[in-house]
Amino acid sequence: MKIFRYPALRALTAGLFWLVIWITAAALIGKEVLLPSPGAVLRRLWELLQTAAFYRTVAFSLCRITLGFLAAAVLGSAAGAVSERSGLFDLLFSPVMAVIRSTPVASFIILALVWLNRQIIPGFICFLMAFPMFYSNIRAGIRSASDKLLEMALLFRVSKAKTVRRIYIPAVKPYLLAAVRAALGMAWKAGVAAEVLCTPADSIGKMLYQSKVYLETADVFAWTLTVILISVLLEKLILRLLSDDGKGKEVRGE
Amino acid sequence: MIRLVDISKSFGEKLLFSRLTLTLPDKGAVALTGPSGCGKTTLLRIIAGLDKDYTGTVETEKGLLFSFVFQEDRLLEGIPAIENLLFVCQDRAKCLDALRVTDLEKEAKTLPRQMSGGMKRRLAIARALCYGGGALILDEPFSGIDAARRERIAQAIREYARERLVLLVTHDSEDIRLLQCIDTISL
Repeated sequence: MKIFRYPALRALTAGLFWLVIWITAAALIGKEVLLPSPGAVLRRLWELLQTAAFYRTVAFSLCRITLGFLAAAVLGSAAGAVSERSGLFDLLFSPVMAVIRSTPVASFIILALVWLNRQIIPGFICFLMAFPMFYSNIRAGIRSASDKLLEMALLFRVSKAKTVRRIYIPAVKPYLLAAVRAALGMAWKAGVAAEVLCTPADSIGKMLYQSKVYLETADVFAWTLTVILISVLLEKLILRLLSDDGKGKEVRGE
Repeated sequence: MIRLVDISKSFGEKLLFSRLTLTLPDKGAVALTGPSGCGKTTLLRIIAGLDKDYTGTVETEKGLLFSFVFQEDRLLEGIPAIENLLFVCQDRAKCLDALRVTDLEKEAKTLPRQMSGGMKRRLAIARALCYGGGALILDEPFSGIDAARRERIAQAIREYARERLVLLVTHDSEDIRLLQCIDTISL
């Protein structure tokens, strides 16, 4: 149908379709504990939005998780760059990466509960989730730098610093953006999961856990909606900060 | 003076040169011609020290710096023309002069990705000219450049060749005439 050519209309149609399914299912089940209606969830979210505790909880969760994410971005990128340059570092570091990649996040959370203060566990888990993505993507980006441009820089005796700034960084940038996009969603979700398991004070995870314990399913939905909205906003914010789309018009003919 | 002694080079089964010996002068333009695939570009790369996978010896004056117009432009597509020149040469005046010679003064702030093929070619030549070096290597430099601009750029290259070596690879005898080559080597 022609009408579905507009992306906004497509999204709206799909959203409305599932909203109707949700409303119908909630009405049929008729028990808020099992499945609250969208209206009940929005009402609860609205109530939460009017409390100071909501903002404090969101701010603390954001801080913990953002710190873990940023540490992963910096250290993962640095480790990836060093691995690409040093065979020895790559050799010694590859088992660490294999362990991080293949261990279930729940195992890390349980181990972290034994080793670490529960306040820093969510950040640590985010770090572990995001680190391998930055590590691999930076390596792929460095490898994607054009050999021909690197040879040109070598012939013209261009300094290492200039070569990094003008050849490596532009090559790495799209890979870095892809890593941010992939890692942010995952880190945020894993961070909240870690909060659910270790319930640090002032955390979305703790609120989710308590809502479940007291069978306040509308609260579980409201907090989940908050997690989703923050995840989308964070991705948009970071991608806007990192992107500068300098594509211009092409000129043809001499 | 650059001397190539007993240079042999092959790509897999294919032998490009066998015991090639050649002497190039300190100054003046020398043309290198031959059919496609005969190894002209490879020889340029060996002379400039970019290809080290060969047997024989290349004798050059110690510390000789080569400037090169590659067959492909090899420009930094995402930064303005002037920044492409400043990438290889710190002297802004020299860069602006090279842009003037190649008729790219008005395009100083244009990104190579916004340029036509001919403009990119001229920018690659401008980069090689502002870098200077002790010898200039040109691999099919004039492809896609119109006659009037060719003449203007050739004049700057002839100027360069008064004091230094210019090594030109071309298929076009007109280029050899334009640069007033003192010698032509057929591979």
